[in-house]
Order: sequence, then C-alpha cells, then structure tokens
Amino acid sequence: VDDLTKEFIAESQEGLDRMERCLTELETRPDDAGLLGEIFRAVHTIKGTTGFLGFDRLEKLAHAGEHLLGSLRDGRLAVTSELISGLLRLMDGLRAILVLIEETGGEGTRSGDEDGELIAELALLNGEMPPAVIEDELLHAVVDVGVAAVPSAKVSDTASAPASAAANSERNGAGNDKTLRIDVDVLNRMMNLVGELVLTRNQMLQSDRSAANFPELARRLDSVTADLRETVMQARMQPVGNLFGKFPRMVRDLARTCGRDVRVEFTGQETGLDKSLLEAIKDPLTHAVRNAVDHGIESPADRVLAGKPAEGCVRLRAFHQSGSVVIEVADDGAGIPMERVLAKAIERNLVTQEQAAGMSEREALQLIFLPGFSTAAAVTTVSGRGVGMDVVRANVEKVGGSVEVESRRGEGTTLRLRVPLTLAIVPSLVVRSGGQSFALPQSALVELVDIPQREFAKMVQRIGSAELYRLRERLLPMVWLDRLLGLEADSPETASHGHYLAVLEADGCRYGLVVDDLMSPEEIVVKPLSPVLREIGLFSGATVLGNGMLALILDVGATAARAGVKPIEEESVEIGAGEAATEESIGESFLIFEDRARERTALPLNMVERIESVPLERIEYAGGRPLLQYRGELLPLRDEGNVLPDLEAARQRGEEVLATVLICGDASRVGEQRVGMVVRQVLDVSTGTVLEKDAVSEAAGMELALVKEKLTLVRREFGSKATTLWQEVA
Amino acid sequence: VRIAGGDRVDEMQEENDAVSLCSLYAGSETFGIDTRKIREVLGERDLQRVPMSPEFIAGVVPYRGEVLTTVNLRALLGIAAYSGKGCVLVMEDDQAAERFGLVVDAVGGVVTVSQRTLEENPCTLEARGKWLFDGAYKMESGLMVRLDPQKLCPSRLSETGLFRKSTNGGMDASPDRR
Repeated sequence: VDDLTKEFIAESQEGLDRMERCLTELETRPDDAGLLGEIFRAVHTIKGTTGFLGFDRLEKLAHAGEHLLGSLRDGRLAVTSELISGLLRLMDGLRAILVLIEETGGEGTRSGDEDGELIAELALLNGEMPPAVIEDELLHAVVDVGVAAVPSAKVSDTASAPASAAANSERNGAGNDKTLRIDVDVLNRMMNLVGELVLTRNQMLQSDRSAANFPELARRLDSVTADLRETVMQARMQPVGNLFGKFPRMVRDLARTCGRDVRVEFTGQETGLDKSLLEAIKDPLTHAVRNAVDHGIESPADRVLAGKPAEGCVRLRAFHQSGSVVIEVADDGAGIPMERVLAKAIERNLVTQEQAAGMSEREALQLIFLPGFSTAAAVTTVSGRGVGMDVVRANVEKVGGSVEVESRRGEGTTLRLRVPLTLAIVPSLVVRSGGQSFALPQSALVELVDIPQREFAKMVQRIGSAELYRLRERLLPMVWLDRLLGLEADSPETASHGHYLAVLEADGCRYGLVVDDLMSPEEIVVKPLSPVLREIGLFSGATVLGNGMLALILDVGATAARAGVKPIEEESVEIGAGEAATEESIGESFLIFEDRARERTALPLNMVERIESVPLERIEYAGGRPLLQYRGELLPLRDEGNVLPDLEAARQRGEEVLATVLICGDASRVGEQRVGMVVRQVLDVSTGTVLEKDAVSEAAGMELALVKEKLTLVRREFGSKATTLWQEVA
Repeated sequence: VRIAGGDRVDEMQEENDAVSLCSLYAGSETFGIDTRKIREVLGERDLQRVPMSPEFIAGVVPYRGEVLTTVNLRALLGIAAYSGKGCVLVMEDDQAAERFGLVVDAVGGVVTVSQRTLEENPCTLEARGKWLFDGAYKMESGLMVRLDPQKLCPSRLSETGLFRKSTNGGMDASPDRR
C-alpha cells in the first residue's frame, strides 16, 4: 500500500467516523442541513478520490450512496429510520472495503456481490427517483443481482448489522493504534525543544562540572526537559470524544436488538486523555454503555408505567477532577435491584445470608464488582456473557484508575471510571526494604504509619504466625516486604529506629506493608521489565530514581495475592469506593476523635497537619497552660476535654503515658501560629455533611455534622482564638 | 592483520577467515564473543538486584532510557559470585528482539583470530556447558571459549530449564551428573 493510499484510507476513515456521528444525530434532528452536508461531503470525498486512485468497487458504492444522499439533500426524501439504517449499512460497506484495501492493497472482488445488494437497497430507498436518472453502473449493479434479490435485501441484514459494526469498530481501533494525528504546532515545538536539548548538551560537554555556568546549564536542561515532557504528553493527549464517537451507533443498534428506546448524550468530549489510557478504558467503557442499555434502561412500556418518558437516556460525561479524568456513564433506568443483587450473591456463595442481611445499600452495590457476578436474568446477545463488572474494575485498576457505582431505585445508575491523566508517569512513594528501593504507586497508598521500635511489640498483635496491626480498632494484616521477597533481614541501623507501615489497598485487599524506611515521594517514569522478570509477577515495572538508582515498582495487588491477603468485602467497600463516591457530593473530610467524655468531635481534615504521640513528660507548663516544644517552635496546647489530668493520673500510677496531640494549623491563613489539641483518641477519617448551624453551637465555634450517620461536633475557627489566648500568656 | 598480497583469492580467504572477538573473563577462564554481536561495553556498573528472579539474573541497570536485564556469567558457570563490581556488556539484539546485558569480571580487548583455530565443543561436555559454549579458539595463551549471545538471552535461558534455581537455593545439578 503506497503512501497516497494510506493517506486516503486514514482520511476516509475519519470522514466515515464523522459521518457515523452525524447519522445518529440526523435521526433526532432530521432537518439539520449542516449534518446532511457533512455526511454528503464524507461520501463525496471518498467517491472523488477513489476514482482517482482507481478503486472501482469503492467508487461504485460511494456513488450509489452519494446519489441517495443527494436526493435527501434536495428534499426529495424524508429521513426515516429505514433510511438511516440503510446509510449506516452503506457506511459499513465503505469501511469494509477500506479495511480490505488497507490489509491487502486491493479492494478485492470476492465479496463483490454484497455491494450489489447494498447498492440495490440504496436505490430502493431512493425509490422516488425516476428510473431514467439511474446511472449506468447503478443499473448494472441492480441487474447483476437480479430484481428478485431487492426486496429480501431490505430485511436480511438488520440482525447482522450490530455484529458487523462491532467487528468493524474493532478493526478500526486496531488500525488507529498505529497512526496518530498531531498538531503541526505541537510537533514544531517538540522539534525546537529537542534542538534546545542538543545545544544544552553540547554546552555541558564543553564546560566541566566546576565551571561557573554549570548550575545555570543544569537549570536550563531541567526546564527544557520539563517542557519537552509536557509537549510530548500534549501530543499523546486525545480528546475523549474520539472514544465517545462510536457509541451513538452502538447504542442505536443495541437498543434495537433489546427493544429499547434510547438516546445518548455527551458532555466534555474535548477532555484530553493519554492515548494509551484511552485504549485501556475503551473496553470497560463499552461494557458499561452496553450494561446501561441492556440492564439499566427498561423497555418503553415499563418506562411509561413508571411515569417516565418512553425514551431512555444514557449520558456520557467526561471531566477533570483533581489530577485524574472521570468518565461517567449514567442511565435513567430502573437502578440496580438491591434484593436481586443480594439474592444472587448468596446463591453464588459470595456472601453468607447473615452478612447479606447486615449490609447497607452501598455495601451491597459493591458486590457487583465481585468475580462471577451477573444479575442478568437471561444471557442475551449483548450482556451476561461472563464479562462482568469485575473485569471492568480490573481493567481500570490496571491503569491505576478506580470504578465507582451509584444507583437509585427507579432513577438510574451511574458508573464512574476514574483514570489518571497519563500512564507513563506515576506519582509514587519510594520505600526501602532489605537495602533496596521500591516504588509504591500513590494511587494504592491509603496511609502511612510509623511504628517506633520500642512500641513495636505493643502495636503488633499475633494470631498464630500471622502478624496484625491494630489500626483504629481494625486489624490489618501485616506483610513484610523483605521477608516476602527473600531479602536479607534489615540492618541493625533500621532495627533501632523501627519500621514503617504503608497501608495499601488494591483489588479490594487492604494490608499493611512493612518497610524499613520511607524515601521521598517521586513522580516516576515507568519502564517495562524484560519477560523473565515480568514472570516473577510482583513487579509492574522499574524506574530510574532522581539519584540515578533503579527502583522496582511493586505491583500492589499481586503482592497482596502472593502474601495471601484476601479481599475483605465489607470493610474495604465501606472505606474505599464508598467514601470516594460521597466525596463529590459533600466534599469535606473530617478527622474524628474522642474529646471530652466519649463525645465524638471532628475537625476538618485540612486543618490537621499531623497527629503526634508525645510522651507526657514532654508537655511542659507555663503559667498553668500546657505547651509543647515541637520542631523548634513552642506550641500552645488546648485540652478542652481535660485529657491531660487523666493522663497525669495514669502516670502517677507508674505507667508510661503517651498523649495524642493533633497539630492543627489553617493552611489558608499565612503566618498563623499552629495549635496542638490534646485528644483522648483518634477514631477515624471520614466524610460528612455539615448540618444547619444552630445558635448554641455556633456561639461555641462549633457546628454539627453528620459523619458516618452519627451526629458529630465540628470545631472551626479556633485558631485565631487560641492565638489570642497565647498572647495573653506571653 | 596480515595484509594480503595482490592475489585476490588470498585476500578473500583472509577476510572470511579473520574474526574479531571481544575477550572477557569470568573466574579463571577466558571467553570470546564476536564483536559484531556486542552493542556496547558499559564497563563497571552498579546493578540493582531483582528479588525472586532466577539465579542467573545479575540484576537490572539503566541503559539509554530502558531498563536492561543482565545475565551473570559466573552464575551460569556455577562459580562463586565475583567480589568486585562486574563489567556489563550490552548485546546486539536484532534477532532475539530482546536486549540484555552480560555481566563478567572484566573485559579484555578486541582480538582478531582466524576462524580456522576454532574447535567444536568436546562431546564430553555436560549439558549446561553444551548450551553455553560455542566451541573454543586455540590461542597461543590457551583456549578462548566462544559464547553465543543468542543462547544467553534471559528468556531462552529460563526456557531451557537448565539453569533453574532449585529449592535449596543453589543451582540444579545438570542432568548428566544426576
């Protein structure tokens, strides 16, 4: 295939993609001349160019299509469902020939008769046209097939259309992998930056390390690299709309097979996503859309009965949110029937009867992500073929994303895929274990716990040989990275300062990974490993760290599996996806702690900088007010729950007492002094809803909030008061 | 290289005959690899070990924006690990499609030898040796064992199963010895 043909194929495919979008839109807005013009142009361009390149078969088909579209444009035909179907088949036909040309270099004649049928069908659709206008080759085609074939052609391929469409889109996808359209400006910028890079390198080679301008050169290299990285990323970014483009057609075909009436709506098509990620979420997203049409939206009759418009709606929405891209698939269908989910889960032995009875709606929803789960009553052609939501989740998690689901009975279901902006660069935390560095992806990291050596025995509990860490009254299985990997035991130096516990979550497993030391968080560039090392199964890649050393990237899910950590449904469900789902609507996280006499109190999480355990002896008093020397500053302590006297009493009894101090500071206010709050016990971090302020609590600088469905006091605005208090003392 | 005279046939003969080899050392033995099959000699490098990897994997090393897997020649030969830093050679990868490095004690230099001095592997060689070695050149100073980089490629080494780590942590005894 020569360059000219290649270019023609790429261009035609783009034209057909546009045509596909326009066609489904045309059905809803039949009078839009602009849409019609677009479709006409796509077919016309193909016809014009094929004649020039000598693809007769393609030209004939395109010509027939153009003719029909011409009649449509002149208003001699009205837009009907059959007409759209016919045009879609014309498009499939054109695509098939294009693929054939791409693969073989020729348009082939083996399946030539199909065209005849199609052309005849198009001619039939163009029925109003007087026979005299039929051009030679068209007549020829009709004659070829025989008039008898004409009526049957119309009925025959409605059923095969979805299948061929699916096959087509797959093939198209494969073809698009190899080529990418890049803005010339972006390419020029890249070239300029590479030029700059070369110049800087030359200068660096000529000057030596001690030269005066060396730091400046290093800085320039740094900025050029950053710019270059950004530009390349930009070039790799593709609008999500490219992916959405194929859905109208798919939904249309699907809706017809399932007997549904469905319309698709898009927002945020221009949202950019890395090309490789776009590929990675293509299948999960397709699956989600299929699910929405097949399981989500009810039949028109049911919808009318439920008081909803007969036509269902699937909304695809893409938008940026805190460094990741969120793609939502929302339907306005019946929602997920909770009792059927539970019944199914019990039937499949995924949960026990008792567990099911105690589950909240949100917990039960998460069951659909378990392997081997499908509620479809019958296996239809589109869904229920064993490709379940677990695969969707696994695929999205593979690229460092997450999946959330929300469902309201009678109002619909929303599936949310959250993916990072790019695959190649992953924010991670570098840890050390057994004298080696490993990178943990930040996306799997829940929290970090420091276990000082002297408290190790106290904090770590054992059942048999299994070690567990009690984290806020939850037992967390501990996995020693060095033992798991068969590395040498830690050096004496690490033994003295204790260990760190990285609380990780992946594939529904939550566990604490014990490492010797934490290094800096770094944005790492993922490099693939050779097959032999991939076989080990524990590392998803390697990366070069800032210090030039290599670090292996730990596959958090595989590590859990290797260590034998089993997914814990209830807990991980509650903490993981559940919280993330509510986060959006409420958007505030609280740190909940016990203050005075068992009362739940909360602080907005963004006000708490650190939680410290301080030996009671370190708390000093000045003028009767408690103070803590903390990182070179004097921290006034507030003890509103009268925790300190209790602790003091315990110390009198000879116990070694630690006070829990929340180091608080409002990051938004510059120069404000931090305050330490002495609390009895930290309970949890959770999201909550702030309730209406009432006069009493407001006067005390407090608000009420619902956190985890319990009433909780929230403190605010205490910083400034504390400062004034402190000034009085001084 | 001896410069051949005017005789054309002689010259051809000479060109076909001479091979440049890169000499390398592991333990007490000298090895040679055809220079055309070596992409680059990296010299001494710090290797990052990979836990749970087969014994013969020396580790990984950054190389031109890639992560290069290296094979430890000493481990393949079944001799104790080298005390110093190993020397890394990067193998040409046009056929195997998998680029890898070879870690040896030291790299000597390029020597040109006549193809005629090459002897085949002795038939008494045990299985692992038969896999690793590709004949030997008779040099004045002794024998230089020829290595075939294609056979040293990590995925092929692991395919053969000859160098699999046994449960006791050591290398499997070769089938011949068992």
